[in-house]
Amino acid sequence: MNRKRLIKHTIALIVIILLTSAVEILCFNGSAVFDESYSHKYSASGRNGYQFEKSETDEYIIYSMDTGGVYIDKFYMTYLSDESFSYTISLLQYGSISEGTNGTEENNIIKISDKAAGTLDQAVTNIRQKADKVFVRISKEDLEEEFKPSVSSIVLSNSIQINPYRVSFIFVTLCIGYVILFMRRTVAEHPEYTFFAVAMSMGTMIIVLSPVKFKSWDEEIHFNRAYSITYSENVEYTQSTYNMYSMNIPDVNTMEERDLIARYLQEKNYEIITVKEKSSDFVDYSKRAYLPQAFGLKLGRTVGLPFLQTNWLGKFFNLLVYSLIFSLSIKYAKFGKRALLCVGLLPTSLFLAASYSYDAFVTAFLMLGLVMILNELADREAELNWKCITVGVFAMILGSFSKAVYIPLLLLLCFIPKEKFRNGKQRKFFVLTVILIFLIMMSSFVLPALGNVVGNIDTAGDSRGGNTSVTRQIMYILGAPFAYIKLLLETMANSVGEYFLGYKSRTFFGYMGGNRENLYLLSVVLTVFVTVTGENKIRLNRKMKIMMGVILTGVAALIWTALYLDFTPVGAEMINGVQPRYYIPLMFPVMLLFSSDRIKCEINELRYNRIVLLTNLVILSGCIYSLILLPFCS
Amino acid sequence: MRKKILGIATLVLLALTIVSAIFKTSVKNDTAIEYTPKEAVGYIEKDTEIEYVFTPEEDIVGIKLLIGTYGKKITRGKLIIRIYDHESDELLVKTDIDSEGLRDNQFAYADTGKLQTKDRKIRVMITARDFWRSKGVTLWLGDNSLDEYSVTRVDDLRQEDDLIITASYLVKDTPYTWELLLLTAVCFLVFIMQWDGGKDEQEEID
Repeated sequence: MNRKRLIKHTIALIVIILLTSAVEILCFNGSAVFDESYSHKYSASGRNGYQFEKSETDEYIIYSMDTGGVYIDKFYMTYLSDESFSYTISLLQYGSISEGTNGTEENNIIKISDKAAGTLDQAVTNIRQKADKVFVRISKEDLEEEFKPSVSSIVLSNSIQINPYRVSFIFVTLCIGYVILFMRRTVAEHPEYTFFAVAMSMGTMIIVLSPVKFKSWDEEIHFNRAYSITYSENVEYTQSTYNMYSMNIPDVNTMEERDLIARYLQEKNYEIITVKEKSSDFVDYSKRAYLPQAFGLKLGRTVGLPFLQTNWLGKFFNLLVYSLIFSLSIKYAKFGKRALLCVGLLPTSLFLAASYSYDAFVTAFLMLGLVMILNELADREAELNWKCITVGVFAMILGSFSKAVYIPLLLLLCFIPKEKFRNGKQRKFFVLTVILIFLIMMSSFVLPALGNVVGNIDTAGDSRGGNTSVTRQIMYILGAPFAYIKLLLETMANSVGEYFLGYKSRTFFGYMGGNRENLYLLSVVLTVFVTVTGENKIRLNRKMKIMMGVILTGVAALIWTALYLDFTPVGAEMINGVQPRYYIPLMFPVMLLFSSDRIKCEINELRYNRIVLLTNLVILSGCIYSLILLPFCS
Repeated sequence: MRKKILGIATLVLLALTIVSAIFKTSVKNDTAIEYTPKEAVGYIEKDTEIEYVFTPEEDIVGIKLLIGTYGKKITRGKLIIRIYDHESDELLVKTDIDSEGLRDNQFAYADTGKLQTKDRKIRVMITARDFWRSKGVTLWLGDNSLDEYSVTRVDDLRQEDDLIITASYLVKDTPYTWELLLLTAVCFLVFIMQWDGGKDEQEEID
């Protein structure tokens, strides 16, 4: 790096630090900077501060405080309680009292409800309102007499408080924005590096900012599987690990409570409370996607990281593998690089990579496999590249270990142009071997199910689906095949739009909800824009597009059928359990299907990549801010 | 040259696949249990008798017991284990675990040889011999999911908690056949990409 560039980056870093500080202090702590900064403590005795009044009715325990119309930023309540309880903070503003229609006084009381965890001794609520009087009501409805909480003090404050989570988020977002805008060569010539930077930084933000309690789909189950791999014989659970696995962690919504939870889990992480014996050391095919997460967990435990950070490390390695493999896919793709960028940076896809799940591993390896295969398919002039195909086949196999329903994508290899082979014999053997590999992979989940049907062994499906049975469902389908085909086609046709373009496969963060407004619409617009104006140098011809369409339909049919067998009650006239995120690995090939050379885009490479990357950064950071930082970490 | 190596590798893998499919290997498996240790039975002495009655789901080849040594290294003594048919009181096997196999808070394995115990109620009797008074062992009691109808007694007194014990059995399996088959197919695919239908060899000969 030359001196001039070094000075430029250093100045940029200083500007970003100053900007971050300014935003944090002036925007997020503006009320404390420009208004009065204070911290008032209220207790029953009034010692070292003010006094609150305590009263009790049949339904509530009520604490009231006179606050004199000041702006209240945060509310802290210190208590003793064995049980979790709910409370409501009512803020009364005298200025808002008006005369009602029948001559009586009416006032607007703002009510904020929150929960206090029995495992902690302090609850914190963001108020961000002015009030003359504050009432805290604790409902007695769900509490038994002996578990009545006792509140020792309440603190109302409006002081400058630097939120390290928010500061990190703003700093990282600005840094990445700078990289996209000012590191021209990297963005234009190596979009894979920029992808890696965006994916790793935004993914790490998701990991760090997400609540301690798991919020992704079945994350506790995925965590437990990864955790089990880290032990060879007996899986040891501490109280904290057990609480994580059994989801026995209180929901918290402020950064202070989050730190308290982390401290509580650390304290409970020393004693082993239960041990589970593993029947075998062999890591099952379907569980190999958990290896990166297991490695992170093991590494964290070995070096003695605190409990929360060890958990982060497990997720971090999942993210690292996802970002690396996806970057490789972008690097080696001869076409469709921008489509890959868009799919890889979809908020839902990145959220899965930053959680305990196997979806990210599956998606990343399938993308690499697809890129290697499609390169061969579309580039008719180049010779058959055996290294590329070998990597592609291995990637497909690895990606399909956990979800074998995607393995039909391997059949794309059968459509490599004839002229790329030395002779017909070689092509024939090649195609037959590809089909053989496909059948071997399919046998991993089809044969056991069919074996059970032949042997009349009733295998239960997923109990969450209700009265499920894989065996009886297969027999039901075999009894009425046309009715099932009709149901399958109708369901697929009705859901295709929502599952590919709906917000649940794009801007959705599991149990933290999703964005279905501006950011989601921006994501759809970007996808459509990239699909129709993407690179035009090499593209798939019509015949290949038709074949790919057929294979993609087959994969979608397998996804729905797998869930019909496993998750849907026997004989039901609907298919349950298919989630839009299952379509994420299919988005890239679908975008290629709709690509066309009729619309020409004259924007140069650098500007085009900038538009794609910046829009993705806006969508991602917007989703992280509105769905994670604001509701759980402020 | 590369072609030859790939061809040979494919053949070797194919042979290994066939061998692994034909010759099933017996793999020792433990019954997966979920357990929570709660308390220890105390020092096991010569006249202490710990009894555990349960019904295995398979023919067992060994049992595993969760041992406690109070943090000490055991240098002398052994745990004597007798297994009876609970109905007929017939002694099925007598075995022991030597001091070397006894470590604090770890499972110790007692080889019983193959016993026909499938769906048959059996009684495991455990006692100790020759331990130093200051370096004895204990067994853990607690919640154990091995058999919900099991009964644990210490010196004929029925315990609320279960003995932390699990049973080992043999399964015939071909654990690597599927993977070897897959690897063979991929290796063959790579070979095919190098192969030209035997044309080159013919040309070279000409």
